[in-house]
Amino acid sequence: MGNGGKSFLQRVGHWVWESRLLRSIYRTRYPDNQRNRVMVVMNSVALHLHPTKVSRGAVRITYTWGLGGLSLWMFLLLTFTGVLLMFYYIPSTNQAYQSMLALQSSVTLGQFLRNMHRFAAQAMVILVILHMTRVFYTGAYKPPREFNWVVGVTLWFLTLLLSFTGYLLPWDQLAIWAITVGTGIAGYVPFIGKTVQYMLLGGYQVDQPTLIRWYTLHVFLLPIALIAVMAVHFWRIRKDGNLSTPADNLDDEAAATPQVAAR
Amino acid sequence: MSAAIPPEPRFREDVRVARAPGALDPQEKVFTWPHLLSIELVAALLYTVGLSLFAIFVNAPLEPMANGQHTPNPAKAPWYFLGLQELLLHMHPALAGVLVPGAVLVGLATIPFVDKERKGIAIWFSTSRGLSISLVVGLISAIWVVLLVMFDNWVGVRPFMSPLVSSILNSCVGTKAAPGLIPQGLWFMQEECGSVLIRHTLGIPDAWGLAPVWNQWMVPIVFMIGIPFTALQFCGRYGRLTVREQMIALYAYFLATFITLTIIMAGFRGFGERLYWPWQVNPFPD
Ligand code: HEM
Repeated sequence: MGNGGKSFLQRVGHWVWESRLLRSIYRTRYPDNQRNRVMVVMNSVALHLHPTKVSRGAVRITYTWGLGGLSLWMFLLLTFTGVLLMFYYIPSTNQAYQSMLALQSSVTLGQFLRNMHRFAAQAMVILVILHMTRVFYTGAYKPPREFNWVVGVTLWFLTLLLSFTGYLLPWDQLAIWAITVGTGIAGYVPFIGKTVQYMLLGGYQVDQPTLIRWYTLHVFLLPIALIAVMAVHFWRIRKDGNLSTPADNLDDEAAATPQVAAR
Repeated sequence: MSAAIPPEPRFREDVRVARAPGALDPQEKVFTWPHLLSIELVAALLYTVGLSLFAIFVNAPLEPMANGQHTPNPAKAPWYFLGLQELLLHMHPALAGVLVPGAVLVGLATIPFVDKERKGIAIWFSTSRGLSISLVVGLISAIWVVLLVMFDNWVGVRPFMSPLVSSILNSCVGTKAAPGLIPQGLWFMQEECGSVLIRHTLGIPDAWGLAPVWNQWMVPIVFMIGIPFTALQFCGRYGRLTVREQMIALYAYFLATFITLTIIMAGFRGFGERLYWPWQVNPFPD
C-alpha cells in the first residue's frame, strides 16, 4: 500500500466522491454508516419513495417477488421507448404503417426499439396481474390497505386500456380488426352503448378519427392518468404503514371489532 | 380429497410464532440502503437483460397493412381479452362483454370491504388450508369451463329445446317434424318460433325480443353463479370456511376461469372460431 495507507484506487475514489461536483449533486456521502444510510434515501427524489427502514419480512423476495416494483419499472421503460417511437411514428392511416416499416428497416436499432416497447407492454400486463395475485394471496388488501387495493384495481384497468389503445397504432390487420371487435363489444353497453362506440371510433368504423383518438389516449391521456393513480398508490403504501407485515394482524378480540381497532 | 382440505382453519401466524430458533425476525427493521435497494437494482437489471435478449431474438408481429375490406378469420383480440372473446361465443354480448368484466372489476374492488378481519395478513394463503382451497377450486373451475365450452360447441342448449320447439313448429307451421329432425341450419327458426309461442301465451309484446333470453342469458348466468357456489359448498363440507377462505375460493375461480378461457381462445380456436388442435391454429390468419 504505502502512501499513507491509501492505494491509487482509493485516492481516485476519494477524489471522485469528495469532488465539489458530486457533493453538489449528492449531499450525502457514500452510505457506509447508519446516518448516511438514512440520509441517502431521504435526500434523493427517486429513493425517497422508500421509507428509510423496512421490515425484514417485507424485503423477502418470496414475499413480494418484486412484482409491483417491476410493474413500475416496465412503465418507465415503456415511457422511454415510447417517446423514442414517437420520433418516428405518424398517426395517419396513410403513413402509420409505412412509418412502422421504415422504423424496422432503416432506423438504427428501430426493430429492437419496437420489440422492447411491445414486449414490455405485454410483460407489464402480466406483472400487474401477478402483483395483484400476490397482494391477494398474502391478504395484504385487508384493513388498513383496503383503499389502496381499490386504487390497484384502477391501475389494472388503466394498464389494460393503455395496452389496448397501443394495439391499434401499427395500423396493420391485427390492429384494426382487434379494435373493431373490441369497440363492437362497447356497443352492447345498455342504453349508452351506441354512443360510447361512436365516441371511441369517432365514426361508424375504425378509420382516421379512431386512430387519432386512440393515439392521443395512448401517448397522453392514459399515461397521465396512470401516473396520477400510481402516485396515489405509492403515497398510500407509505401512509398505510408501508408494506404489510404480520404485525398488522390483530388478536381475536380486536379483530372481531375492526372499528375499535386502532388504524 | 378429504385429506386435501384440513377440517379446521388455522391462521398461519400461529405457525409463525413457533418459528425455528435462530431464524431471522420478519418484523425486525433493516436499512433500505442496502437491504432493499440492492435487491431492486439486481431485479431490475436481471429482468431488463432478459427482456432485451427476448427483444433481440424475437420480433414483434407486424401483419399486412390494415384493410377494411378484408376480415381475417378469425379476428382475435389481444391475449388479455381472449378470455372475454371466448365468453362472447357462449352468451349475449352485453353479458360477456360488459356485465361480466364489470362484475369482475367491481367484485375485485369489493373484496377488502367484505373480508375485513385483520387476520392472516402478510402470510401466504393466510390459513393452513388456503392453498388447498385454491388448488381444489381452481381445478374444479377449470374442468367446468372446459366441459361447458365443449358442451356448447358440440351439443348446445338448443337440442334440449327442440322437442318443445318441434311441437310448436307442428302447430304453427304444420310440418310433421319429429323431435331432433329439424335441420341444423334452422335453429334460429326453432328459437324464433318457440319464443313466439311463449310470448303469445304470456301476452308479452314482440318488441321485448325474448328469443335469446334462455340460452344467451339464463343458462350462462346459472352456471357462472352456480360453479363458484357449488365449489364453496364442496369445500364447506370439510369444515366451515372463514370469510378469508371464501374470498380465496372466489379468487381461484376468477383466476382459473380467466386462464382457461384465454388458453382455449388462443390455442384451440381457428377458422370460424371453431375448435381445433393448437397445431392446426394459425396465430396470424389472413
Ligand atoms: C401499474 C400497476 C401497479 C404498480 C406500478 C404497483 C406498484 C406497487 C409497488 C411498487 C408496491 C410495493 C410492494 C410490491 O412490490 O409488492 C405495491 C404494493 C401494493 N399494491 Fe400495487 N401496483 C400496481 C397495481 C396494483 C394492483 C392491480 C393492485 C390490486 C388490485 C395493487 C395493490 C397493492 C397493494 C394493496 C399494495 C400493498 C401491499 C402490501 O402492503 O403488502 N397494486 N404496488
